[in-house]
Amino acid sequence: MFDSAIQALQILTQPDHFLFLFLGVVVGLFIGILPGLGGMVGMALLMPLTYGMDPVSGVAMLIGLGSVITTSDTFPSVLMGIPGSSGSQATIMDGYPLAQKGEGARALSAAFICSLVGGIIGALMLSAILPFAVPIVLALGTPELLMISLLGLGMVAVLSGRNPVLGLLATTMGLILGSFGTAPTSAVYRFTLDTDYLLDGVKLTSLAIGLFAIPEFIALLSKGGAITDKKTDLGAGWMQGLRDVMKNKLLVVRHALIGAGIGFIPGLGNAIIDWINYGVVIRFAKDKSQFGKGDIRGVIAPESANNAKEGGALIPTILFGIPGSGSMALLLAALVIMGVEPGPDLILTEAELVFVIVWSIAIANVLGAAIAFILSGPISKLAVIPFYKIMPFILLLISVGAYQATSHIGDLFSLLVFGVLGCIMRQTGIPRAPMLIGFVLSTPVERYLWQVTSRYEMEWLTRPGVLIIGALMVFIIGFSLFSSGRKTKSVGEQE
Amino acid sequence: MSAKLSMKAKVKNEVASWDKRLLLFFVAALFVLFLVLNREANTFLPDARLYPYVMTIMGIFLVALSVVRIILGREPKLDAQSGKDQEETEEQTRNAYRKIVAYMAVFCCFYFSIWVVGFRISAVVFVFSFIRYFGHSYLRSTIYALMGLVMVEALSRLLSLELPPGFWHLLFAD
Repeated sequence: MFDSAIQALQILTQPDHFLFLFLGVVVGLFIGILPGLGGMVGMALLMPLTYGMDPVSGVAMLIGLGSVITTSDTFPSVLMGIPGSSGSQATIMDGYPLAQKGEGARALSAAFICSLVGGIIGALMLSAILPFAVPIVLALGTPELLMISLLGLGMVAVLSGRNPVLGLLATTMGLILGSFGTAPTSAVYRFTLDTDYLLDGVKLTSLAIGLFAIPEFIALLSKGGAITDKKTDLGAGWMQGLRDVMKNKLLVVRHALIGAGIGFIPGLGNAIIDWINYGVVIRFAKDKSQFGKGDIRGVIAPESANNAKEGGALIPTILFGIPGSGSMALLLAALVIMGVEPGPDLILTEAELVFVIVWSIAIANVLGAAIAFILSGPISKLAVIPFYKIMPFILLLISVGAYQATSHIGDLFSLLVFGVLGCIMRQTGIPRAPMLIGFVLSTPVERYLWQVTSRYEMEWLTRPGVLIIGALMVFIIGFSLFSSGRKTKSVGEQE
Repeated sequence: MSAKLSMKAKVKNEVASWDKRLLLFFVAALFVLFLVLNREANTFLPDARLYPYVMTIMGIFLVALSVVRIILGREPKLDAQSGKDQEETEEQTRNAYRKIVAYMAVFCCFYFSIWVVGFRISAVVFVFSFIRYFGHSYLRSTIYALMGLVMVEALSRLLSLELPPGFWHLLFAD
């Protein structure tokens, strides 16, 4: 395992691979700073470029992008009081008041250092778990893998939105959509609408870009031409931010560990992790009086957690092939595009690639923090560029990216169809990430289902592992449905 | 104070009802789709049938459950993802919907034009019109359009991608 880690570092630091990591970091910083565009849009933008790419370069680029979005999204949160992405909402609570007092640089400085430390702790946690995971992975049979996949899907469905039924519906939509095209178990074409284009099924790039990028573009454009008319004054306190982090180093470690730990749970996105950590830091603080008025601990806690989350989220993604979030689903899909089969065998057969992921997180966080520090002035100005000036170019980029999937005009039409679908889902509050994750997991779930039913018939349902995971799944989904019903009822009574 | 509160509640309900209608319409469309897919899944060979059959049944069940919850008012009033301001007025809500539909229409036109006249021409026209619409001069819009074309060309060459020439191209074919 140690040898694989060293080899992975050597591979990653080769100029061509490192260049792609750097490219991912730069694009990630750019996406993070644009309010409204998050990791999903970023991943969707770069994913088409991974066609035919070497897996190391592709993985480094995507991980680089995903790792630093929560670094640069601090700029708009602190300077303008607008979340750069869902992962920096809680940072506004104390970051923006600090900026209003002329201490924006202090908040940014503390946030960048915490992001850096958090990201590295997340990577360390991931690498620490990997050696222990191998025996667990080896002990799992197909029935358990099927149940783990269903558990992951169920958790994402009920935890990623406010309405678990709509989450389950979105997941089912993804699972059904994934069954279009050739059946993985026999040479039968399903739901092809009598077109050649759908013989290979729905294309993931069109689905991901359509579901996530186009609705965000339309939402940003509908709000008006300019993202914000506020000024971005950095203020002072770069060194003070560093001193604040040194003074609160245990806080940084504690929240990075919480972030990585919660990131492990499928379905809990950046926004939830951010707020949980903000809640925890207030709960355990002796002096709570300054929170919401510019307490630096209110910046340190969420910023340490949201970068550490990436390492935690990769644990189920790598070990079981269960993406806990939309961006992890895209990472898995990109691995497939690059010819790597994700799933439990990945750690056994592609240990170096797994460690490339670990190193990429760590190096990307260092690069991201360094760039954010050095170029903070110009970067902060990017946030006030009117979105309508950037949008046409991003639309052209994603259109070319989607078209690259099969070079068929159907790629563009399906992009449009999923864009409209994404807009409707966004507007009606149906979570989109479960649909994407359902789509990505559709083929493995069907394959597992076919294998267990043909090999074990109904006997697999009595295996202890299956029963335990099944009971856990029923409990989580049942509890979510029950608590959602109670919440709605109490809101209704209040009104 | 109470008048202000009741106004807020009214606006909140109005915003919710717009989304509620859209949600009901969408869910109804899904219901029909799942039914059709379920019928088609019945025609597949046994090995390929089980999974889509089970999934469409589950979809139909969830759609039915959603409809009941929407009608009973058990869906969230406002969704955090959509990021809507709770204090927006009825007129603003209507305008927001209009804008969304208008931008969707623009995007539809763009992709339809790619099919008809090809990627490059569509890209240039789209970027030019879009920038012009936001009040920039002809010159600036032309510069933006040319930048778009350069980007498309660069991507096409970098990725060795033959961009769609468009339907009209067939008119000049032998």
